[in-house]
Amino acid sequence: MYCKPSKFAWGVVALACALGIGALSSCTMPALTQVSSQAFPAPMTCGDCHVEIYDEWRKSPHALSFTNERFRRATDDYRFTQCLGCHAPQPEMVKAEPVARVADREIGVACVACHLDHGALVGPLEPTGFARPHPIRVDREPFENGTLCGNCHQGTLKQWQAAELPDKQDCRQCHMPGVERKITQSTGLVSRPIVAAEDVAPQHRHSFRLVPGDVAGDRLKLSVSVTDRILTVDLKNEIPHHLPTGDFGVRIVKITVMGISAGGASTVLGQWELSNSGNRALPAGQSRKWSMPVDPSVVRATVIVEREGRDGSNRAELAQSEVVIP
Amino acid sequence: MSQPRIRRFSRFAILFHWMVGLPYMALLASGGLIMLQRMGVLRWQGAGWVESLHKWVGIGLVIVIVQGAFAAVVTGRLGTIRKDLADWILIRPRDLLWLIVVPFNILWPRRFRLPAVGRYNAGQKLHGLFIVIALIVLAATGLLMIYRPADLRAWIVHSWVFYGAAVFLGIHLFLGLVNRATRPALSGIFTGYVPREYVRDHHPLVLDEAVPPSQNAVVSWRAMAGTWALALFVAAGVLRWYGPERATEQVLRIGGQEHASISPGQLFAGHSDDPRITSCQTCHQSLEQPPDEACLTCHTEIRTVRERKLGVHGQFDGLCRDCHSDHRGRDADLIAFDTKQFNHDRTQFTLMGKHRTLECAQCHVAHSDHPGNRQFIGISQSCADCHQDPHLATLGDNCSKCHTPDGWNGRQLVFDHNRDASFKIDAIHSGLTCAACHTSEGQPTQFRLGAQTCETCHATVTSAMAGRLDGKSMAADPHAGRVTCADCHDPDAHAPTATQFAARCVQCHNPRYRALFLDWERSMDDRAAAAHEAVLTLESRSPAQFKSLAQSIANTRKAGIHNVQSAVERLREISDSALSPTPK
Repeated sequence: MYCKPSKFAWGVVALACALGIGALSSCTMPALTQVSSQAFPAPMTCGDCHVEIYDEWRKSPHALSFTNERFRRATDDYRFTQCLGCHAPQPEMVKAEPVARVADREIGVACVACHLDHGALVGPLEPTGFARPHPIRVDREPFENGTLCGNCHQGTLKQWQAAELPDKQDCRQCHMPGVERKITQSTGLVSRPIVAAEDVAPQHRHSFRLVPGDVAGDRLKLSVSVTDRILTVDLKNEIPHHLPTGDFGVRIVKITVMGISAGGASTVLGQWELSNSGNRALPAGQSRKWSMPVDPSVVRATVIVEREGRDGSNRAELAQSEVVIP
Repeated sequence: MSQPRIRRFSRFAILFHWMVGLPYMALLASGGLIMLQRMGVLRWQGAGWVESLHKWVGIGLVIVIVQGAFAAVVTGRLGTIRKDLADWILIRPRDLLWLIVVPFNILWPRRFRLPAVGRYNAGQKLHGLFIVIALIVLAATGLLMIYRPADLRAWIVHSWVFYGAAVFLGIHLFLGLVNRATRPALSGIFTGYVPREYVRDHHPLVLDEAVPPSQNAVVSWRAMAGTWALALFVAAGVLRWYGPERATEQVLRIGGQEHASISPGQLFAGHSDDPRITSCQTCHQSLEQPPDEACLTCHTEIRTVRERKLGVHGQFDGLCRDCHSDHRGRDADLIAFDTKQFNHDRTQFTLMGKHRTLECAQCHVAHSDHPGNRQFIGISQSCADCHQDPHLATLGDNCSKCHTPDGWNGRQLVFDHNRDASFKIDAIHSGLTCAACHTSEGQPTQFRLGAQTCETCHATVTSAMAGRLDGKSMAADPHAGRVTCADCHDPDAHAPTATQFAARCVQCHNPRYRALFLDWERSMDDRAAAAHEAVLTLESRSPAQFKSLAQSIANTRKAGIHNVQSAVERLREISDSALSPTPK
């Protein structure tokens, strides 16, 4: 037999919900906030709620910063500990010189490296929901002015700071594409109503992509001209840091001239390099020209600008231009 | 019964006659001998003695004449002498008639009577005039021949006057010694007196009385014919003795193109055989002394050095003939000079060092165009023309870059590797011996090694950078093809430390690479030590494998720092291989 709930019953439920919400919003999660270099929340823990962010991160270079094969070889099986401050930083790196983490180095640059500060999880966003399972602190500045990234990417930060470009983008605008979404995507029984109660907010994906090709294409001005069978390549870097950039390792930008004969045969006519070391990079806002004679048999030429890391890794095309030889 | 005699000559005239006449005859005789000698008719040793005699007698004759004139002035006889001289040489119109008549008088004396003459007839006057002129001309040309010996005009005039004088002297002697009509006058030139009959026949106007014209010929044709016959007989004998062909040749040379009679000697062979020299005037242009231009027409190399003021010839202002007189025989050395006194510094090649001890002929060898002569001009100063190049032309032709005239080797060597060689010996390489790089066997003087790059000697390093370690293909180092050796290696650092290399890293990379480099070094050492420890386990159970892997460690470690990642992996491979149950 169905009994119509009494007003009392609605009152109990309402009280229980209020207590539950109050409890959820006021309680803290020590596992997230009480950390040390030996004990800190793993990214997977964060990913319980921040599902998309975790998914983006785990595929990103930050997640692979310690475990990737090139790093292992470059450090002779992690013998060079001075690299670990950035490749496996301990939590609470915000505004501080990175220090190598003792435990769980294989998780690389973990969430807490950037988002933990004095017992609170810090970020540039204002809270978007009513429930706060962990302490939150909003600090936009280090995220927007690159200083957070610059804790490790020190040389690139200096380049970015020195770059004088109109409409200069910050790190996130290229390497963390913008997206509008809720901050969490948890589907658990308890979490779901909390997620449902969150607002959609503009954020940045945590993909930390190395080569934002689409952005680079817009920011790299490649022009090719031929006069008196002299082919001239003019490359202007409007990316707000050197091309290529990077404090360590090998970053090469190759400018390759492919010649196409009347019969369609394609040959490499010439190649030049930019490098992240030895002042051989192209600084922000500057352009560089290369010239070479073109054989009469060449009717068209294609100039390809591409980057690669050591041994040809992470190869990506940045720009391309074609010219008909008059 | 002695014939009445008349005084014809004063004692002064007699004295003057013999004082002039004897040297005059001596000059004609010696002059004739000289000409015969020059023509090659006669040859005898010491021909120069006759020439000297000729010159001194000639000079003496001039002195005698001048002294005679002086004595005449001093003794107050000048007027008398002048009158006597005028009587002797002044030819008057009626003397011309005498000269015209005299040949006819010789042939037909009764039909053609000679005009009466005074102290001297026209023939004697002609001879007198000739002698006066000849003495002046011979003296003048003789002096010219001494002081301008190569001026042919003096020689030609002197020789032709000689011929005239010989003819006149012949006639003079014939008339005084042979011809009967005039022979009685011979005593006059010894005693001063001649027979009155002679005077009446030949010089009637001297006598105060009227004398009928002479019925006799002034010259006996018989005597003349006899004399000619004797002369021809003697000539035939000489011709037979001398040889007709030679004689013909010699006679043809008299006044011929070669003017052998006035030639002081045969031309030097190089000149006489030169087809460009066709006559005396090829050199004696306008019969004068040969101008330099005549020499320089052929000797163009001398012209060049003189015009450019180069070498010995360019420094002298003299004439060519001052040093290089010719007509001294075919074999004469025209360029003879005192080699002991010659200052070679005047040439374009100053003798220095060991060159000073050389004999002239060691450099001045036979002329390529004139094998009979040694070459002095245009000798190449290139060392290679005299010295064999032990470097087989590998080091160029500028020997003085390394060698001095004082010697080839040792302390005389001025070679400075850092200055003269393309490869500079920097601090890194300063401890090497020559043979460490100059390894060519059998030719220790061949130093050229071709284009030298670091890779030439340090191929293991460049191949290690390119990914070839211990014979294995590995990943290339990113520096390969992007940096030069000098980018990291300081040529002035004799024994660079790891810290110095680390400092080099940060010239291109960020400062943390300084520590990173030291990590790499340590890593290399640790891996090599670990590999060595592992390989040691093979020493007893597999000596060959032990030796091979130990060598691999050494190979890898040697160039490993130039490709750290691959070297470390290779060392790990070696360790793994040594520790595996079945080492490979």
